[in-house]
Amino acid sequence: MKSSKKIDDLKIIFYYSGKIIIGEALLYIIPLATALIQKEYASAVDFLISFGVAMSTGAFLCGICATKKKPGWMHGMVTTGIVWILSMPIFALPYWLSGHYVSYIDCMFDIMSGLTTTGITLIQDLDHVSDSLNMWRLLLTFVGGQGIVVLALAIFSESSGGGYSFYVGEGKDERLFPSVVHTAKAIWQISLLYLAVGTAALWISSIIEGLQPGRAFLHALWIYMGAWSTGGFAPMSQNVLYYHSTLIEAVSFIFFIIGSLNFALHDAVLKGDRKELGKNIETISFSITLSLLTFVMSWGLQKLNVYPNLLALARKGFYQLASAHTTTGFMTVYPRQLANEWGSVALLAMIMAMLIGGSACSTAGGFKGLRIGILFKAIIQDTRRLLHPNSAVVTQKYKYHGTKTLSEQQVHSAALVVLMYVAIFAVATVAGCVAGFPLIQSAFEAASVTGNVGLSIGVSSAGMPLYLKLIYIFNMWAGRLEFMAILASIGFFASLVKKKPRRSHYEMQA
Amino acid sequence: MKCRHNSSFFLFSLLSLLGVLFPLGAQTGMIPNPTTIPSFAPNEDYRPVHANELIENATAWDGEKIDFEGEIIGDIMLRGSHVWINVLDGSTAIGIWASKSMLPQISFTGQYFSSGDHLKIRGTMHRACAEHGGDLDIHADLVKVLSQGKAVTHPVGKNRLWICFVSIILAGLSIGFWRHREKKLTNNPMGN
Repeated sequence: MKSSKKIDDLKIIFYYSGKIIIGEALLYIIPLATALIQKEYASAVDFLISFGVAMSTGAFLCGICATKKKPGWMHGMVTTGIVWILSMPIFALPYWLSGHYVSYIDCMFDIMSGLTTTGITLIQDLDHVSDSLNMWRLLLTFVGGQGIVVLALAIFSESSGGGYSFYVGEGKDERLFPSVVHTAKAIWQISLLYLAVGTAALWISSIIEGLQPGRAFLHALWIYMGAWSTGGFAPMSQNVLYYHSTLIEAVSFIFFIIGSLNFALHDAVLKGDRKELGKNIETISFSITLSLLTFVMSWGLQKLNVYPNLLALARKGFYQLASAHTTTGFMTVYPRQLANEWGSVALLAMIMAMLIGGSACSTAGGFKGLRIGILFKAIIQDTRRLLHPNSAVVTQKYKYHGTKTLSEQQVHSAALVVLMYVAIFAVATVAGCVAGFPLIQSAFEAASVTGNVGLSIGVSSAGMPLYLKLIYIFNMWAGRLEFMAILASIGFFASLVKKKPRRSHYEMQA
Repeated sequence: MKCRHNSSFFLFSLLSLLGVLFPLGAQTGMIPNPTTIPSFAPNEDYRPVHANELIENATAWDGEKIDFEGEIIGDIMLRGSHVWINVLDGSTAIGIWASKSMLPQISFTGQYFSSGDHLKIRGTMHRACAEHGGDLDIHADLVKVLSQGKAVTHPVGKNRLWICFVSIILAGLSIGFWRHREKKLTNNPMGN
């Protein structure tokens, strides 16, 4: 009876995983169309092969596990956890077929990096890749920012039975509408609205800065996708430095800041509630931490005379810090410049910024401003409790789409998530040191992968040890899904292999 | 209430500061004023160097006169009387700031369908260029084409076409199998 229940659970999990994979496979239409328009026929064939493989896998899973049963909370969590892992080998195929990777694990690394909006890449000779491959890289980042399960929910609206658990499993818990399918659609509508505005703004900027209109359009679209999703992938190996343009940096800055804000906040502002922007605990937390860290970083850079003037300090120092804090990962300096020139103080400010990250229910990673705000409020509450008589009831309020009262449960879950982030960050830092990198560089790269940032100090490369690649992949996955779906997946699969307890002699006789 | 006003003010100040800083950081398009008449004749003042060495030891090379070689990639970005180009040496590309008149005829830039012209640049390296918002760049005194690039073709292999055919057939079969199973379940309401 129990084993039949487990089989039913597995069927539900893999049936919905199959559906999500089919949803992702449909995305191949966009790079395929790009390849045909740009006459990149070899790439078009690669995308057709990859489409066939992904559709076969998804449809086969749906067929073999076909079920009419509705998913429950546990199914949604486990499906979300494993579909991100299943996506890695399936959607890495075009990377491998392009010949721009040293090994298949590097292709999978880049898929995880793209989907989780991290942005660290192990690709070789990026400056000569096809437009269609760049489209695939950036599209995955864009979709990953919204969430691949959110995409599937928006496509297959009928699968709303346990939809909320899929949604929460992907690190989002704000409902813009009572229905989670409507929420998923609203997230996509907001993203597509900004896609049009952002691409237009960057297109005009790119033409002004000397790119041909056709190339400018593609670069604008890609840079927008990298900025909005706080992904950090860019079409050229020098990242945003390639453009040598203050204008493009400024426009991309605006869109990665916007991208790091909560979707519920976007929804509120778009519906006319602009006051929410000024009083929301996340925007306040973000403004305070960004300002403090800007001060620390500027002091560190100034002390070492890294930049010749205030303007260079703003364009290099502040841009990098904002990119780190929003977990974007756009760079306008070379990774080795960070290692060799920036000094420990500025790098520590960057590490802090990467770990804190952007807003909850946004495309950003990290601890999230909401949790930092909640923990700060908890410290204030505890301090006030110390100063009041034991009988006094001390409550702490905060603004987050209305006035909320701080509860012990909120503090507990915020602290737990932050603690788990710190734990996996520490493991990745130690792994970096074991691989022979200095502590500060290991910590920088570990913060970057854990917070889904994508800035690199030069540790990540095709030549790094396999165990480091695997740890980084795990951290990107765990950091993006915020642990809940991963713990549920591990727990579920552990329960499958767990031996049944032996019946005692007395039970047998009875 | 006061806290709310403070935070709004804080956010506003920060954004205003950025609004001022970014436009001010725009490139001014100033023309470099070389003190010597440049030529590609052997000159001990100019030391040959690779991109990785320039970045790894940027402080040591800051302000030095250098000879740098590599493949021009991507776009030639016109900025007033000057251009920005990016030159790839090994796996690292570096930005070159050159006057428009100095740039020779470029046949190809490195992209998917072409390998770019191989250029030699004679100029001054800047670790954090004061003129260009702190970019690590090279201000060219002279640029010449060492060898022309070429068009690159990407033929579609027969094997790949066969694999493509098989994968599409497999996808069709799998979709058929899925639909068949779903239909079977719909017809059998007791099924799982």
